[in-house]
Amino acid sequence: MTRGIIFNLAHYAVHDGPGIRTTVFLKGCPMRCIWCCSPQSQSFEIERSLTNEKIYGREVSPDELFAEVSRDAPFWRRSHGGVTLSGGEVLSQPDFAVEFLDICRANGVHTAIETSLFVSTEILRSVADAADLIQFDIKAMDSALHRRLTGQDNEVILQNAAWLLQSGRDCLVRFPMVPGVNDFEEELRALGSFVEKHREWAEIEILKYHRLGVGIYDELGRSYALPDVKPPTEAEAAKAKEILGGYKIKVF
Amino acid sequence: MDRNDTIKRISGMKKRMVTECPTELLPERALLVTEAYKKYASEPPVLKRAYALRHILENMTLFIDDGELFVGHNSPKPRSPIACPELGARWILADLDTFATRPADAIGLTDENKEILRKCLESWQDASLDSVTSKLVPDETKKAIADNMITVGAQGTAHGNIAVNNKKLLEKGLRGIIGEIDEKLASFQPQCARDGDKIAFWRAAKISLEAVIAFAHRYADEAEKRAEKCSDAKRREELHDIAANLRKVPEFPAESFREAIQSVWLVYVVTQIEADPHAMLLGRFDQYMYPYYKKDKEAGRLSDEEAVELIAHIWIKCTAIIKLMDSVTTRTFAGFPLFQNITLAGQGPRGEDACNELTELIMDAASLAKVTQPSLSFRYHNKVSHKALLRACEMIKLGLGYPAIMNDNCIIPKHLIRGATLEEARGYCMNCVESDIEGACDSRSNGGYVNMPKAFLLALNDGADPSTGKQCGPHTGKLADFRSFDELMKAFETQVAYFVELIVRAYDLIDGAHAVHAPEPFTSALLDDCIARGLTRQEGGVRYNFSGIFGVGLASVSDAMAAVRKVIFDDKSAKAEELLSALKDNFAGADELRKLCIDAPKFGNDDDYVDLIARYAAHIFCMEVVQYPCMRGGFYIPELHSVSTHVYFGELTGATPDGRLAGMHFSDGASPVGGRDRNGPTSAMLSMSKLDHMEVLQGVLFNQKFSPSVLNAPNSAALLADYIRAWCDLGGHHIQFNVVSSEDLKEAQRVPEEHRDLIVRVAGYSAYFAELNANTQNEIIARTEYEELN
Repeated sequence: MTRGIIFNLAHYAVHDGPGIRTTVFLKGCPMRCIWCCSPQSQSFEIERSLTNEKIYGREVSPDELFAEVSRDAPFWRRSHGGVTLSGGEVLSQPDFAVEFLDICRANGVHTAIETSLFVSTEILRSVADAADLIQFDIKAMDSALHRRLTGQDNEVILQNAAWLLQSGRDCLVRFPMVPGVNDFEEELRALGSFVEKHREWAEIEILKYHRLGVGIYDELGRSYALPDVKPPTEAEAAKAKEILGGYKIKVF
Repeated sequence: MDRNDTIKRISGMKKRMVTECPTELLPERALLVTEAYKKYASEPPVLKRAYALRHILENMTLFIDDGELFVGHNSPKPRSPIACPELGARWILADLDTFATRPADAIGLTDENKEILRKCLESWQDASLDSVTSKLVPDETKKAIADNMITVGAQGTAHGNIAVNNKKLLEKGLRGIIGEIDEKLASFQPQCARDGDKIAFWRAAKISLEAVIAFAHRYADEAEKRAEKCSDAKRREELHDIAANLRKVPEFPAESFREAIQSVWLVYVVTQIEADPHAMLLGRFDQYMYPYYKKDKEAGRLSDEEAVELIAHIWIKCTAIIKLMDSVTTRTFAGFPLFQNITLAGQGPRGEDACNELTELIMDAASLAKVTQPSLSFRYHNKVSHKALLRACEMIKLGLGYPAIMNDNCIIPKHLIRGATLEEARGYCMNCVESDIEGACDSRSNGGYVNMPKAFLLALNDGADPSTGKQCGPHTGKLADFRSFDELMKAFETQVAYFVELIVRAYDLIDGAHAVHAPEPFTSALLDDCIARGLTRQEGGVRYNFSGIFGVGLASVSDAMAAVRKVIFDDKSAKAEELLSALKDNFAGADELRKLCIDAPKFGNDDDYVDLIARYAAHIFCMEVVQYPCMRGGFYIPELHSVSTHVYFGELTGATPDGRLAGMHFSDGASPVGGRDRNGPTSAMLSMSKLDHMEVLQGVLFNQKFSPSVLNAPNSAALLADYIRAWCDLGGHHIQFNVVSSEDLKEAQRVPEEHRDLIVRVAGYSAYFAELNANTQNEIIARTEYEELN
């Protein structure tokens, strides 16, 4: 069995898919989003906090992980919930993810993944086939902007997104809204027309920027790139929603 | 009817009767009862009490608020506790100078009234109940109380924990019950000397019931008097309606919703006046009131808005009643709790879902009133209305701390074990986390509290307190002598057995003293089967009788046990002597050892290592308690619930092997130690579910605090409902949710005057945060925050 590296488990997760879920955060990510709220998710290595005794990251096998998360089965059963793989980047540990998702499916557990789609379409396809719901981010439409914000090009991401939307799979598009950074009107319009083009009435969720992970940068001896950005106000979020609402899209 | 008028009426009453009403102790009742006891000195106690009640009801100042649509209050003013010298002259006298200045639950008292009360209380000398009980408590029990090992209840106050038979009251009226008594008096043929007591009780009950009817008529006269002087035509009409209702009920059967609510309330108030108990329950209000609601609704005499307005009165009027408690009790029962409770939902006699329109209207009314009393309990079962459950979840999200969720799947079988019929068991109503058969069960939660973490400290140290060296319990060997963890647990069992027995020996005597010196003829007449048996409830006249004993600090003691097992027996990373000396020195200079203790498994994280120890510790406690029969028939029943006693015992107990320092509070109810459950709510719940909730016959408290952010997800009420269902699948007895962020609470602590309205769940009850003392406030803040899990 392939061993994976994870950095956290969240119980009673209610924002990561249907029902009450158990969310597993895989460690390691090829992107470096400047607003990232979990810097401990980025490295593929186990890390130690410089300021306290916390250790970020541990290795598990798919079996061990399933035994651990399935203690929450009573809650999944009642709420039609299940397990969500998040990250980090799930698709950076595809063999581990697929083996784990297969165990879940064999046990009748609903699965979801949360991904940046920054991976080859082939790998995406193998993991997407094993999961019931795919939730993915589109962080920016303009490729230069995307590179500046995440350190990576968005060409493969948009290709994958187009393929997923067209494939008819259960999908949720997410837009991490960072005020003054990626919420310009032309960006939102480009996002709206892109999604509408590949699937009419797809669902988009606006994820409001938050700063809850900022303290962990200090723990890891790193500095945070967006010290002055504030979470979107109700009015700003409503404005973004209104723009996206002009397309054949379900926005929430 | 205009909703704005309703809001105006209720918020006006709330201001006048609760939030802007200062507390004040007045001497009126104390003086009246003292006069009556002098006048009827030669009568047997049960008649003395009946005459005293009559004298109070004939002479007390009647309170009517300008907004009220039905009336009745226990004292001349809202938030004005009554004093019962016949029960507690000694302790009231002892506390007289500190009521107004004590840190928790201070009560205003003018110098003039203080001296009036002092004179009155001094005249009781040795005649009060607490004088009698103080002589009865055995020295060994007194020593254990002084050593902070146990408390023993009801030495100078009355017992509550009952719901009278309101259904019968509404169907027969007090006149009908008097008819039952008359039949008994007419037909009873005494067979032995003690049979005279039965006749005395029946006579006393009849005097009391007649006195309450006259009291209703006095109130009617008062309402009419005010109507005459009232210039507002609408209010004049309301006062006339109030008077008309009181001429009819509670004397005769109720025929409308308004009459029914007036009847139930006036009787409720008189049970408060008779003996000032706490935890007088309003029972299954959505059940016994439903026929009257339905009839009026169908006849077009009552709209849902009017029903909500009337029901909202109950919340304001309950919160306007406060009980006089002694200074120690205010530390353990902080926040003026009266443990009043209304039970919703649950099953009907054939196991059908009992939810009806009133179930939700009651929640609407409580949401409108937004005050602390009465608590609401929602009975979950497999067939419960999804809509009603969702309404309960929406209400939980408001952060009032109620409704608490009770699980029929766990509680109905408990009543079968306790001896009820299936139909009776399905009809249970709630106390705080304890359940009772409505109108037929006296399962008082007053026996006493056991300091379980300290009992474990004694087990480590041959029965002596490690921090003082003082011998508090039996000699059971020292930690270094035990060859295995199991031997240590045997020693713990012996310690627990010893202290449970000390409570039982004392409480049985106190219980007996209540029967002789403090019978309650009025309340007894409304409980099945007191009249039929010719016995007051204090004599065991009620159909089912139990006495409760509480185990305090289960998670704390389990964490301590797991740490000893890990550090001493499994890892052998420290020596027994080192641990005992560290406990003695409050871990001074033993940082490494303390860290080992802190790092040992902790209850609340779904870790079998400690969770199964918790299950075993709970089992030991339960088995010790249930073996004892209680004085009134029935037997002792265990409860894992601490109210605020975990704070009190914690302050008085030295360091414990879980790494807790001396003076820090213990865990609440059976919930994990605040802040130690770090794996999220489902793990805490899974740990809790490993306890055998069924064997804890009186109840198990599980308190979970959710920050509002967890509950702001779309669909969050439905998810909470699913979470509750999962908990009930897992066999839980009770769960309640606190929904406030610790930031809110800290802010309220900083600027209490701006947050007088903030309500938190303390234990089985809700209280105004600003009224709690600093320690209780800190404890609530310390409970696990789930914010970061989102």
